[in-house]
Amino acid sequence: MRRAVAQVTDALGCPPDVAEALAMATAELLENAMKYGAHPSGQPSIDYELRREGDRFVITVTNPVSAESALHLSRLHDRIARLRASDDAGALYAELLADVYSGDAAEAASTGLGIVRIAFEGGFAVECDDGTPGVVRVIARREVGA
Amino acid sequence: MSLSQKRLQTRAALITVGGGNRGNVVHARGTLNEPDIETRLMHLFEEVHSGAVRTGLAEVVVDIREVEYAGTGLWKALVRWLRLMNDAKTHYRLVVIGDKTRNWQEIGMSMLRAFGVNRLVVSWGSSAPPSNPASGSS
Repeated sequence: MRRAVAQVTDALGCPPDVAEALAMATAELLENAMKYGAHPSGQPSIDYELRREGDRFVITVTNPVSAESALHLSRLHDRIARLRASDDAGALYAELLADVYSGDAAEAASTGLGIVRIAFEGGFAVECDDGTPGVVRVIARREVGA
Repeated sequence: MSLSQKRLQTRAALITVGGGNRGNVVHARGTLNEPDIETRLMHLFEEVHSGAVRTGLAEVVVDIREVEYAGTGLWKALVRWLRLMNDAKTHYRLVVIGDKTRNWQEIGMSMLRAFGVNRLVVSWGSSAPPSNPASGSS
């Protein structure tokens, strides 16, 4: 997967730090989609798109969800809302890691840390669209020079 | 004294524990971002922690220099390990060796420091593991 992203970022002429950020965000978003999406056939069903829009890159990951995904979606919305309300994604990342430290192992398995990492480490703005029943779409945008 | 030899092979990574003249080293290489990697690492680290306490090791080294990329599962598992060390009031120290040229490692290690003030040593080296992996600079 990282090789495939690297081929695209090479073709787009991305500087190394931007390419690294795009690969990291891709990995986190796909991991979330695999972990929390609904894949009734046993095979992940995930749509992934990376494109450049002028001075920014946009990653979109779309996957089916089921009723069992409700807790994950709730956490996803919470993390994105907290990111929007905060001007320090690093502080939120540290706060969630502290939750991992103080919580039990089961709770630690689902903290939404990846979404916050995308913002903190990669400089992305993240949003979520689950307006279509049974489908969630997560969009991560990053300015080329962020 | 050394740790019992263990080996965790995933689709894209290999993690070895103990063995040879590096009996206190957990060495990881590859890519650690499979969906279940957090659970598998937590289980492995719990075993290593128990072994370190049982054998009275003074130091356990975790060498991640050859990890090309890791998802948040690695950091969560390491944070949980530090919690185990704190709860058990252990006397061994945990040395994590990273490669500073990998930006994600530098950022992750800086966050990790907050959870192991007294027992965690963050060390840097190049990606090629030396014969003595704990010889990197702090």
